[in-house]
Amino acid sequence: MTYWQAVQAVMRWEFQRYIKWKQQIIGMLITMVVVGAFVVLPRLGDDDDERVRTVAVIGGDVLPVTGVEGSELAFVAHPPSEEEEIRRRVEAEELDGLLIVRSPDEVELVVRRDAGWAGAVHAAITSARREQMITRAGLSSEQVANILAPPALEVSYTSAGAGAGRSGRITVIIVISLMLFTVFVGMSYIFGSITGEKQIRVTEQVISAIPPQAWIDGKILGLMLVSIAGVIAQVIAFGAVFIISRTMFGGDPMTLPQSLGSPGTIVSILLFGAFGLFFWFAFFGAIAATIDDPQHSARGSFLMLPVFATVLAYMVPGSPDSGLSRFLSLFPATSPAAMPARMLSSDVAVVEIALSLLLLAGSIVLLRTAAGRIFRMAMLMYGKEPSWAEMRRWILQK
Amino acid sequence: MITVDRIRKQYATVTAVDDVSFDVARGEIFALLGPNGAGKTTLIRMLLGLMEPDSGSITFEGYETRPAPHEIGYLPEDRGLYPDVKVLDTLVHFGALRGMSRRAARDAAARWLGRMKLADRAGEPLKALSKGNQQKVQFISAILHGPTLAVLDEPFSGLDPLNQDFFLDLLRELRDAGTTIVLSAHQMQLVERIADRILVMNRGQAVLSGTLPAVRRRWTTGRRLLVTLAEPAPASFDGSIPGIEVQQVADGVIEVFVPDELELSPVLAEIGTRLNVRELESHPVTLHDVYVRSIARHDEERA
Repeated sequence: MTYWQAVQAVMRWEFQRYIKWKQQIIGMLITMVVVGAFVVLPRLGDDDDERVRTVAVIGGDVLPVTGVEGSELAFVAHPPSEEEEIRRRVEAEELDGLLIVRSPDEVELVVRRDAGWAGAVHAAITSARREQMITRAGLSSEQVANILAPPALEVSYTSAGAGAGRSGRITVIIVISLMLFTVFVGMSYIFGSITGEKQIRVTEQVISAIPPQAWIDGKILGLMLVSIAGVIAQVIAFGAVFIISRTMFGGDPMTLPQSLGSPGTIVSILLFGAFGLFFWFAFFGAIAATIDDPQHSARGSFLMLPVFATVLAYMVPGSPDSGLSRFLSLFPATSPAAMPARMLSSDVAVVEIALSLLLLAGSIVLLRTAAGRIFRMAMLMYGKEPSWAEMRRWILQK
Repeated sequence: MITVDRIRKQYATVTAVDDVSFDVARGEIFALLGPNGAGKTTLIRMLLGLMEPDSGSITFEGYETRPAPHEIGYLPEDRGLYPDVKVLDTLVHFGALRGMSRRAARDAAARWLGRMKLADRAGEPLKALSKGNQQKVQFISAILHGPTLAVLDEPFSGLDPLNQDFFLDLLRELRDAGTTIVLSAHQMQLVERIADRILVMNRGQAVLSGTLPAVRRRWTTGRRLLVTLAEPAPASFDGSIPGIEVQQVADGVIEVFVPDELELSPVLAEIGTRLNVRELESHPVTLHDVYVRSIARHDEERA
């Protein structure tokens, strides 16, 4: 049996052991229900918000209040003598509110309970008061509009890949979040798989059959596939809800950032994603192999390190060409998320991308070897955890 | 087939294997015996290449290269298969790890499960099986691929007497088919029935080795009397007859070893005078006796 046949056998085993199609489908349905609820429920609330509010006005002659554009308010004038009657109708919820205008600067809104549309009333009063002041000053509406209008500012970019705007930022956030999600999912799989195998004492039988390096390589690849399949299932669930909600409620058109139109960028991002996952899964494997009792080991906290390194990439879109962003996109622990973020936010030189990939690939070779050596020794160690000095010695031993 | 020459393995505070040498011939059943902590598992791990000796050498057919994984079968002391996975899937996986095609592994697994009367349990997760049946599955995973060398650490563990006999037949069958078997076990009466040669270890050292008849000859220098008492023996009895060894084996039962140099009649008279004897039996020296006495003597020498 060749080395790669052993890797394939383990990869297949891990994938079949951990991929649960039924659970994946149930998980997708749950995601669709939960995300769907988040999308639909506020819309149902909007229906109530969009109902026309009828507000009685006393003293409309002091300040002529009318509804402003976009608000659903109907103001109905009443004489002051009807104030008591109107208050009763407000209490009985026959009217939404009573507006008492004592002077342009002193207005009272009477409602039965806290009203979310009070802001719209305030805007209407402000508008009416401004109109009144303009009329008194002898200015036309056009003159006022000119005074208040903001100057136009058009942003143009010298860099071809820049200026993706809102859709670009959203894409960056989605890419980093997917990476983070996959790292999270993979962490649980690797941790469960390795500490579980140590606890059921299956290690000797496997290591007597195949090299430990083939075991950990196969395990990493198999569980990477499981994690990616899980993430794809969730993306499909999110996408389905997104498409359904767009069909039902409409929305702003989404555009992909210009940089994503390049096949080279897409391939690079996928490479960074795959390399990054292998890098972190090897790290997880090495740490998990040293844990004797998952309930009581302090080493589990090290598994949060990749999460921290990935989260740092969220800083990149704010200033993609700063020194910090450049460092994060080259440093192997952070580059899998930071470089794609930079590529989607700015125009990154090909040589920088190549150097980052090279550094990441080199680090993977070293980390994979170190993880294999720790795994080989630690998987046969029961009842205690190896010290850091022992692990250092194992890494240096061939 | 295997030549172990003066191997040594030191852990942080203990020498697990200390200057041990032995040979295993092709097609024989070689038994490793010894109390817990004697170094048997460390020795087995070194035979399999799971760890390397600090010094000394292990050669297979004259070469230091260990046999390929498909030539070795291993039943570890720490039982471990995947409890949530179906029996047949588990066996196919371990067959594949030993280089079998999945189809060949599936066919061989089905055949072995049939022999073990577990064919109808193939689709069940391992955890649904009894301890003895799990042991059978573990055994199949070790020999499914037809190894030339099978290393079996405690193969009889968890088996009832009928299945122990069944396993003895299986081991003989494997040996007759040319498989070399190295096993470790605590069940002396089973080892006695199957092993061609034994090695007794204690505290990392080889205490005794050879074929069973040779070992028996070396240690059958004396007589073993099993004495059932009507009343417990007084504490003063132990050591009161010079030259004999006395061991309490159960409530009201003692074992008395009488060396060849002592005349038996005076000893029997002395026992009859000092103790209220209900029954007296003479037994041949068993492997158990040899084992216990060799370990005790080694402990005395080390002390």
